[in-house]
Amino acid sequence: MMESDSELWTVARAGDRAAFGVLFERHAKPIYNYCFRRVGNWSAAEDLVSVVFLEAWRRRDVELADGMVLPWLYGIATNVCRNTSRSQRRYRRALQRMQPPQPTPDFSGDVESRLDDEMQQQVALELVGRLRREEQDVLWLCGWSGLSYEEAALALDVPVGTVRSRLSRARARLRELGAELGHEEGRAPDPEPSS
Amino acid sequence: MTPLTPPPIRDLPAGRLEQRKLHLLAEIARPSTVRSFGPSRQWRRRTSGLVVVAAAIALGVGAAVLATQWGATEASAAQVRTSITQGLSTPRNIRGRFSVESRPARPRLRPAHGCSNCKPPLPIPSAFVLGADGSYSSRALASTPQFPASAAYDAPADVMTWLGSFGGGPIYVRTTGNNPAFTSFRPESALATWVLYALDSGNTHVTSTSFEGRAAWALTLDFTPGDDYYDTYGARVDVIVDKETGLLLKLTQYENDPSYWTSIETINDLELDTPTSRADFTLPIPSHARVIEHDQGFGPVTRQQAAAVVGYRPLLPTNTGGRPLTRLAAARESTIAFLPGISAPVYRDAVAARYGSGLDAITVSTRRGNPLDVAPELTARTITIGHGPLTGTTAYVSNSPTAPGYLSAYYQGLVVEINGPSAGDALVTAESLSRR
Repeated sequence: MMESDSELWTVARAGDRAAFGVLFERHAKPIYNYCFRRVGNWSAAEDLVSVVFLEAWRRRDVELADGMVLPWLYGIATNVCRNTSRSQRRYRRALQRMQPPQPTPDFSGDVESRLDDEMQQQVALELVGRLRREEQDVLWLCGWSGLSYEEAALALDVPVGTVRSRLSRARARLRELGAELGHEEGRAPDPEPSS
Repeated sequence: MTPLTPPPIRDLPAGRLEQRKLHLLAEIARPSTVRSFGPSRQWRRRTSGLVVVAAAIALGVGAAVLATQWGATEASAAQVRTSITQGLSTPRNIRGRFSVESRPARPRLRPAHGCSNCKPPLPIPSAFVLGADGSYSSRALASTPQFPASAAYDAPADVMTWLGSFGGGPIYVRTTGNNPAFTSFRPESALATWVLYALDSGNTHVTSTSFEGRAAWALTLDFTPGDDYYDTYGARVDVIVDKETGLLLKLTQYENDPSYWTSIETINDLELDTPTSRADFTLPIPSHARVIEHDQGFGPVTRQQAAAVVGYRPLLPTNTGGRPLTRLAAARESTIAFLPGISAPVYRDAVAARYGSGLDAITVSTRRGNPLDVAPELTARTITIGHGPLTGTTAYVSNSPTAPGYLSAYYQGLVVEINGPSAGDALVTAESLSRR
């Protein structure tokens, strides 16, 4: 039977790297996509995934309730992405100590669409970057990563009500900015969270 | 698709997930942590401000030459770290002589960035005394035109004295009402901190040895160009650490050629637990010296008194890792500038507290200021306080080898500064701050 995140986390906290590896396999993808949305670069996002999980391992003294592992990882990713420019040097050293990726099967068919992603995301980042930092966080988490208000609250370590109000402000501000810049709002930034 | 429509969710490129996982598991199996370097804003402040005294004192310690017998016993960097930290946090009286020998690098100095090698200022031949009560002194053994010369701190009286040359003549400075955050500086701790930082490099070879008949650790640290540590430490550093006291008995640097030393600092004639007197920690006033008295403005207070002095309830930690409060002081206005023509910032409504002693001490200080006062160093880590009243506040943690536990933040009109033995200690302290 597949172990739950919290069971794996409990084992990992005791120093079991294999359990931590399972968590990595399970959650690398959503964190990868979240980091991409924050930095607009797939290669950087891949590196940041490693940094997020390294940071999670370093902070494995944290106890996490059922269902809270992924939101907590989102919280770490939020800080890592936020700090990435200031901390590039430190992260670079961490990444340099890890082996570089080996040659992998050609995914050139995928490259063009990934480049399109990056161009598109840079525009979105420029626009969303005009919001307050706290508003950006809730927008990325609730709007584009599908976290519930409660999960986002845990990720950001703020009350649920704060998430709601920040998201509301972010949406309103985004609408204003979109209108100013002639952009359509699009469907994705502010779907209703799942709770 | 509009600019605000998110790109589709994608997998990591084929094969990368497994690779990243393998590399991650290999990395977390490593025992050491990752750190990096940069010039310390705090160290720059210390050297330019308080300054002279601290700089002069840094003379005090370093290391002593003598033939060493290399043993075969391997030890870990962690053991040495423990030996240094515990030794230098144990109050005791210590006397010794300090000397330095240096020669030009060949073929040239390695390129350095920031504060050259970020090491405490080069000492000169001196005799030093460390007191169990936190006092210390470093006196030049021979007259020298070089600045600085001698310095002393009488901890119970909270009086610093400094003797050097300024404007072509001798100058004697006596400061009172000192900031507890500055007087926690001690020369042996400064050099030890500098070495401790290098122990995280993972390039440390440790053996047991003896030095002037004392049991010691012998460390060799090797660095290569391109490595962040190389920028700060050069190609190689050899260190001999006294197992009992944690003092660095000998420190040898090699600049860019690991086979050609450029600097050797040594401690000789070590004496432990011999009696001291106040005279050991107060420099006499030489004739013809220009005398300057300077009050930094800090006075001892209780928590309640501190609030009355500064006009706000001070931010103090509830978690200091068991370290007791050793000094609490407040000042309406304070400056460390005491030399003519040399300016320094004026601190307003400042409260400073020190917990514990020696290398393990933590200091917490707050003062009125603005966000620019905590502008981050170029290489500082930016973190977000996660607990306590400062939750959500951005803080900067130094990446400097001389102040690895320095954290600064701006909170509700206050500049908050914490100094601890490590970044972790500083962060834990910051997250336990409360209005008290």
